[in-house]
Amino acid sequence: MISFIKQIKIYFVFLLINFGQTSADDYYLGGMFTQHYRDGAYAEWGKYSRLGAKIALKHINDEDRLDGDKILMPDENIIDYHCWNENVELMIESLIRKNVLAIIGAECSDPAVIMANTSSKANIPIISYGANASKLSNKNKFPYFLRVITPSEKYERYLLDLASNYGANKIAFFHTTDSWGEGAAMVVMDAAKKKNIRIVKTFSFPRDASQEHIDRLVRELKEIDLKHIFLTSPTPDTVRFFKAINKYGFNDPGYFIYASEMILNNTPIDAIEGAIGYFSPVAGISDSKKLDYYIEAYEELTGLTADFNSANFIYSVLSYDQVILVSEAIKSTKKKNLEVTSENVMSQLRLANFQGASGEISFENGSNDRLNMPVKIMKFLGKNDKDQMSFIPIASTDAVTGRLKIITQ
Amino acid sequence: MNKLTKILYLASILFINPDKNLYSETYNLGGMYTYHYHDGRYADWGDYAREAAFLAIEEINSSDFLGERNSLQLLPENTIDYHCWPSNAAKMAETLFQNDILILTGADCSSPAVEISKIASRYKIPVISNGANASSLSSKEDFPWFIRVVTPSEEYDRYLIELAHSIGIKEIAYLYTTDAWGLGAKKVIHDSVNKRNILIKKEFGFKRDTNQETINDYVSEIISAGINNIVITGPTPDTVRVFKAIDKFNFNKKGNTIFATEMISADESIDAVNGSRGYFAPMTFLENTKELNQFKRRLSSRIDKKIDINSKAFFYGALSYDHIYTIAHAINNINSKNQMVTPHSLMENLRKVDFIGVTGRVYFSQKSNDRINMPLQIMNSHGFDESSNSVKFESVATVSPKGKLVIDHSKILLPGY
Repeated sequence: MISFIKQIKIYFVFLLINFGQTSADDYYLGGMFTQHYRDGAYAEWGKYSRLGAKIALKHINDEDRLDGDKILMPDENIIDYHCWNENVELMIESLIRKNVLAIIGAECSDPAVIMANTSSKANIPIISYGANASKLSNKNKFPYFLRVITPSEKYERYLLDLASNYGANKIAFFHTTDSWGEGAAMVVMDAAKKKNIRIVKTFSFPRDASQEHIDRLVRELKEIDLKHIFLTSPTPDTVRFFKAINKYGFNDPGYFIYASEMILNNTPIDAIEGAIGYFSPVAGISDSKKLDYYIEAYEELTGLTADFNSANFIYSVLSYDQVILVSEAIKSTKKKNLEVTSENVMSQLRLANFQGASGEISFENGSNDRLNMPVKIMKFLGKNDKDQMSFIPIASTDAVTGRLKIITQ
Repeated sequence: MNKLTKILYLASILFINPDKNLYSETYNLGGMYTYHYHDGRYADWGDYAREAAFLAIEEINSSDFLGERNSLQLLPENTIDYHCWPSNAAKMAETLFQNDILILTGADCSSPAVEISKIASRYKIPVISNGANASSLSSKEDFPWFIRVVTPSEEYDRYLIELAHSIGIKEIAYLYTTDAWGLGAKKVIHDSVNKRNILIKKEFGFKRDTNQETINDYVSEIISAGINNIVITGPTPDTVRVFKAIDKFNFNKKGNTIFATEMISADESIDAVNGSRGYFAPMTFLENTKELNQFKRRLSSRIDKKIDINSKAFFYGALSYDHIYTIAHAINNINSKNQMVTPHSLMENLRKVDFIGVTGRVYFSQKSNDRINMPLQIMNSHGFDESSNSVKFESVATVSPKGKLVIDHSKILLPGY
């Protein structure tokens, strides 16, 4: 029989063991990721961005980066919102009701504005890997929004720098009238002014305008002698624009076409014909150990070789980093002995400073934007022998001066 | 090309792709399935339907059901979550039709299915639905490229009124949505109550996704009018809003009855579950066969979830599984006659399919787009079940082969009990 003293000792040892253990927590994320556009066109980049997020969750949980806690994003919490505004508010509210810690994805600017407004009311962070509308920079207006990319003006203005380098002094400009399109238009107008480039003709149209409508606008170019043509619009509209360019034969030597979006692998052939040779800006990603580590998992899961020049790969890296950002914020919340709530995590998200797969991740004071993100300008070469869109970098920004450097003419 | 080059060419094809017969075909399907509703709520039945479709495709291909190593393919890029919503459903379907699909599957919600079927007629590509039961979709003349493995709404909804009549109900309040499906259901309810001399004392028609406040006002008005019986024909999210209002105003109590055309999902919010306790809903009757149990096991293992065979999600899963097999049987019919498998020949042969699926005998009316003689049952909500953490339904009535409702009164749980 065990003596009473011994029993007490055993009891205390048992108590100490249990006292030393804290229970592990599961933190749930919501996801707003596009898989198809509103018109049913497949958004291939959406597949890769979900993959990037999945790899990040695997790395965080398998490697126990949160000391026993886990971040989970069940499929039920991932909504395909078709990169469109309709009912986005209700979708976000549905996710919020599931007690998510934060919502990720939110890659399209116009819907992201609605998401940011809705989540601010509930104090739930929204982290975006792709929405780059200028207006989303405003921390006061969107206190619960943050993005692992820089805003539109940091991208599109380099297209004007490039045009200037090619001797442009007058341009035609097409843009959509959604909030992102209007923001991008402001950027282009401002940058053109600074470069002494005259916007001779502006064409604006709503998102998802019909092919006939875009054809009519592009046909008007015939009446004006402009060789440099700019477009800022989401991908489906960009594709329709290139179809029109092809139809009216504007993709001829002597013309320069600049567009804010990179076209995707499933682009129809007439749009590809119209797009050959056009220029587009994209986040610049450089070699690093973190990127190599990501690539290892990416290549294993996809069976593909990582292509630094493909929009799909770049989006997947940015999406990976948005999840790593959440885990870094949870880590620092815990380190400061704060409760892991959406409010506390939001504060820590803004203070983050770490090396992600896409480079250093930190945020501008007073804004929702990532700091010092390099930008590359890509040139479209057409379809390669693997049926994929082929882009090559022709210019990149200097990390120190922020100026555009031409890599190859 | 000389003879030797030809032989080498053919041999190289076989060497590169040894799994494929030289003449094997891959038939591309399109899919429009609901994973989330338009308001972002997860639709478990849509998830089950999509997964069951993939399961059927996998089985058809691995068992070489189509022979000659022919196979079905439903690519992720051709599978759209259309949120059970009509706006842009036609455009989405059109994009899929332009992707050279042989047939469009899913299309499980009636109002969008109407839009999808209209555009299908333009492209002359078949649409097969596992769940859209609007009356209007029966018409072969209006929708010649549409077919469904379910019977139309009137076959379901009239039995709700039969049940109401058999438990002595004389007057009801009726709530319905004004989409294509809702209006079809309204006609069925009106016809049925006329036959059974039941009075519709108050009636409210409203748009899909009408806000909670408006629905609350309707239910409050019903209570003020002293009506004890409510009949609802609306899609699930709207039905759920009515249940929430019923819970809010404490209508779910002894002496009251509730009938709705839709079963609520297993993971519904607690106020909707409480408001709906004891309500009745019609559903396909699934006979407990070896095949059904095998399907249940396989689906359960695929989705890594326990399955309740009386859940709405499982019914939709089973119907979806059978709608893919319907395509496979039609393709086999065409191939057995050495004809080309085209959208046109497929549409013709879909109408002639007759096989025993997991949901029973699958065969179609030659005068309409409907599955015929589909066994039906009435489910009764027994409220929240703690052990499974979900809503529990019991089957309380079945429809005999002669179309008579056979009720098991011992299983009925009414509101407030």
